[in-house]
Amino acid sequence: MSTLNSVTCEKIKKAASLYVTEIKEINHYLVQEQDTNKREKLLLLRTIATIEHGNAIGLYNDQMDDDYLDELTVKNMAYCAELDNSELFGDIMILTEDTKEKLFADPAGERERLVKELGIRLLNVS
Amino acid sequence: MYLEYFDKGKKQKAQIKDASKKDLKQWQRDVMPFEKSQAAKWNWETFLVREYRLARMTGQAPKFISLSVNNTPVGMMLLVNNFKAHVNHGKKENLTHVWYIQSAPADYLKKHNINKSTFDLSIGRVLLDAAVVNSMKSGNDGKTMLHADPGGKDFLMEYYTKQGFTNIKDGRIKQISSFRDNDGRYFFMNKAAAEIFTFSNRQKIGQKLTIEKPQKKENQQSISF
Repeated sequence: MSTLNSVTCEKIKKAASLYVTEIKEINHYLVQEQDTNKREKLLLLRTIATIEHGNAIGLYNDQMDDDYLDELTVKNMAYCAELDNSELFGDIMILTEDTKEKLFADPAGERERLVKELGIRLLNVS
Repeated sequence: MYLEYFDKGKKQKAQIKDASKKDLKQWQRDVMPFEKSQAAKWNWETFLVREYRLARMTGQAPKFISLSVNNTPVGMMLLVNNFKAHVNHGKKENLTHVWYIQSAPADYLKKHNINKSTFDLSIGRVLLDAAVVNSMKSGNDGKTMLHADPGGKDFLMEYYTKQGFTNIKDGRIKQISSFRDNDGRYFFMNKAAAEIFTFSNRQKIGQKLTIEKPQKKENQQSISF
């Protein structure tokens, strides 16, 4: 029996759609970028998108039980099937603890700073 | 997995198992205050809520593994069993990636009267052995990868080389994934090296390794909350 209600499923679907679009946009910039420093910043932007997506679907909720987490991740994987998940996971795995804490503490602020430094515009991010 | 490592006549029992939430809590409470290295910043309870869940969200089949001696925790590890990376030219391979790995600090072992000079295999080596065996059991043929924390400088690079891992040097494999450059600190153990590694470990402890045919790839470890 499903533990996710229709409202939650719709929320995951919507968040996944925005996430997939943002990752594609960042990848588009990454393909074109030759400058190592700028590429690193773009990879950080991609990491923030993944962290924020976790937030959007309620992944870090401390009260979540394992069955719920299971369903949440299965649903999310289905909606994000076109993404290279190992690649996105690798973004997080490589972070130093200090950088990771900074990104988790203020993802929106870090994103804003990086977007400004890179001089780019992400369509789905306000 | 239940093993009797660390002998030299004393028969200290070592146990490798999937770590529970309670094990992570105990590790954070009892072991971490003794940690003085760059790992002192780690928080295993946070890893359970953040890193572990992100790994699950991205389908990486994460698993916490703990090692204890006479019921005292002495090692902890977080790995993923569904990682894909360029470790050979041209193609991505499915492998096990060790993310966090930690041996209990010397002062903590001393407090618990655990004498590591009597061990047949070091704590770090047993944890790496568990990772490689896990890779075999999950259908990755023992192929295991890790990234040496830059905070560990040359020491960690030398340590992993000594354990039988090969440094995926920059130039040979320029990119680990589609967009990520190889920073020269990635290490890999291939199938043949994994077989030699696990065999030599078991020779030292006088055991045989039996790997059952891997079942359908698991997507995650269930943790009781």
